[in-house]
Amino acid sequence: MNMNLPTVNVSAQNQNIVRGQRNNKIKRFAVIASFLSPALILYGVFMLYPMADAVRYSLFDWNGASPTMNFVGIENYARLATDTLFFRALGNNLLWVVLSLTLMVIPTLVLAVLISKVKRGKTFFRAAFYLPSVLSLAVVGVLWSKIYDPTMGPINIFLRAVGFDFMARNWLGEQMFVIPALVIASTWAFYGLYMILFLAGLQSIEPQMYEAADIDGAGPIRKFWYITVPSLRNTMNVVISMVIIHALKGFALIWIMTQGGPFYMSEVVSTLVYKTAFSMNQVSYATAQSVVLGIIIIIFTIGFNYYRERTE
Amino acid sequence: MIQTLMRRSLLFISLLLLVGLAACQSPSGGSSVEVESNEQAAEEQNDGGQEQEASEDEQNTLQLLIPNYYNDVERDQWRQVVDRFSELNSEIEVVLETGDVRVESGSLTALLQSEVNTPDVLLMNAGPSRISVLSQGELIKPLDDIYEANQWENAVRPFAYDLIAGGDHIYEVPHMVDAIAHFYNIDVFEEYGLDVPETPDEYIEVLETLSAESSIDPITVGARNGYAIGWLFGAMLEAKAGTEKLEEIFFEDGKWNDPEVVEVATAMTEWLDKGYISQDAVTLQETDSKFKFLNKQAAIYTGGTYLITDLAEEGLLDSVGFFMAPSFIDGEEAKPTGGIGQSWVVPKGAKNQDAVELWLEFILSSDYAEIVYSFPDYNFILASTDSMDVEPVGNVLRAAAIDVADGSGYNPSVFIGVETGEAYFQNLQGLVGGLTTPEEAMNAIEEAAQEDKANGFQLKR
Repeated sequence: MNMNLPTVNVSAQNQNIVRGQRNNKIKRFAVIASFLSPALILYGVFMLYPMADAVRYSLFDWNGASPTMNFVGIENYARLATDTLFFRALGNNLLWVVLSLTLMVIPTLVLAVLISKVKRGKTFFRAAFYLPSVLSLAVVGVLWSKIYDPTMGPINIFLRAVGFDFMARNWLGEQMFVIPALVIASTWAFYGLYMILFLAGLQSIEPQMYEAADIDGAGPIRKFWYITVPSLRNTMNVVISMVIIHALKGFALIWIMTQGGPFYMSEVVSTLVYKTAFSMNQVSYATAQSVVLGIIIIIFTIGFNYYRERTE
Repeated sequence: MIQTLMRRSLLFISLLLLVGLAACQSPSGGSSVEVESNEQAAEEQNDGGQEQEASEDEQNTLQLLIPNYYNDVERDQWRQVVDRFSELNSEIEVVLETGDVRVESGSLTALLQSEVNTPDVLLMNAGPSRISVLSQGELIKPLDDIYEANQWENAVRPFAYDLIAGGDHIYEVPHMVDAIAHFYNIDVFEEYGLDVPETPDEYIEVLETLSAESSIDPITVGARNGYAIGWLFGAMLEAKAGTEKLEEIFFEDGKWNDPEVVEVATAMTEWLDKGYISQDAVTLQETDSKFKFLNKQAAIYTGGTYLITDLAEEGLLDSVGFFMAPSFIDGEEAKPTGGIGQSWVVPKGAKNQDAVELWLEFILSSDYAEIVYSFPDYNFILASTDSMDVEPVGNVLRAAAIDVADGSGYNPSVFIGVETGEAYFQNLQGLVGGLTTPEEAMNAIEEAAQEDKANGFQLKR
């Protein structure tokens, strides 16, 4: 009996240690949960739930108003696979991405570098170039519609005035020009934002690097390519990601300026989704289109970030 | 200690969940909770008087929703209409609200689904595909009983009644019938020595004369808005292919790629090439083309009588006339195109049924017609039978009302299904933009019409 006593004590001690460890784990979990739960709950309620619901809708046949929905499985996705208009819209989106990247990334970087070099009035230039970004897209749309007006628009008036009548175009009405014209308007509306990002990135580059390059006799172009551009790698990644995402899901400007027309020439997936849902009352099919667009955006973003990480 | 911490964490998480759930709840959920708690409080106070008062207030209020005003002229007109109704029904308080009542934008369906601030009756852009979205969604009430009780079958113009009574139930009370044709600037016509054309040859001659002038567009149209190019094409169809051809397409087994229809599409492209229709049509919005016309930069604008309030606002009521293109078919007369432009519907959640009936009865009465037709700037041709005996004071509206006294032609935009509608607008844009051929355009519209038919869309007479 006495011989067993120490064993009992050891066992009790072990139990206490185990209990203590468990309590510590619970305590740690409670602390972690109390910190994470606000964000997780909000993220779940406002992001994950609507996304999951969108996927659910895409599996039904629903007009957006009817109290009943018919389950159709992947029928909406099968229809999408044969929808030439959807692929046309997707093609326009990709063209938009390419043009946006071309017109947005390097020009805004050059602009930011030029502004950073300005000795006087830097704030003025920064504010002036940023100004379009604070305008509502509705205003930008109306403004550029007038700029592109074939009769009274300043572009055509200028071209005619300098004798280049043959270059005056129906900018928003011709197949060749409608998407580029829209991209230019979009670029104008957003370049201030990207310029500010680049300016912030430029401020973080050590000036000693330029001084060292000066001593080595590097010219401005070499300094730009070998110091500025590599130093702004992270900023550029953010800008490129934002440009791609914006180009793939842009809606407002196109809707205001062309509504996807003429004759589907500026139709992008987001305008098609809107028409399908609200003009044609095919909410489920529109949701399937949105889901596919969402997946494409996710693939683009993940792919780009993967490439970026591998090349770093 | 740990238990307290856990209890606090759980409490915190529960609170957050509650906040999250409350935020996700529909506004209607919120409002109904409020009503319930009010009722509960009333019960606790053992005072049924307040509740009864609230209920009586609800019974005496008629909440109307009408389309947004385009201008101050319309605002004044509606104010006077409501004043007159209030005079006749002093026990009813009318709350008039304006808003986006288009099915296409999704606003109306969202409003009715939310059941928040549901109007008792609303005026919306009509057309079979629009009304059917709401009726299939059980968002509006069938009105068969009211029609039967009040014998409204005879209170609505036969032409309009035929258009709404083809289905199993009637869901709308037609408010106005469209009359879409050409508005022309009288000054411009006079300047070039032109008269309103009465024959196809005269019509083409007018367009030729005007197209020879570089300072003026013969016909302006804002094709960037599909409905606007649809108005022009509809008028051309009526004049060149005739009403019967369109009836074949809408009600029977007629096709959009019928050679006669393709011919009209071809004519449209030819008119563009010849400069009869302005070349910039594809870039213009409807408002742009309207202002071109109002500023006398264009001689002819195709549209409905809605333009009248704009004319009134610009002081142009006496300098603009209205005419329909003459029929190109021997022995036939082309009528302005149209259909039912706007209709009243009663939402499922409407509260004050009696007041709704009184309002609709008022709208269909000669009293209402006399009030609105006495405005020189009134812009709708009423759909009521009683209104046919009242003559509008305004010249343009009077001319249009005479033209559609026995019914109008068809504005295709409001008689086609959703797939066809989208294809119709886009392909007409493609035509005026030179981006597709007449054959391709009409084939594409027919293809969409077949899809609509496969989805069960078929108009009945």
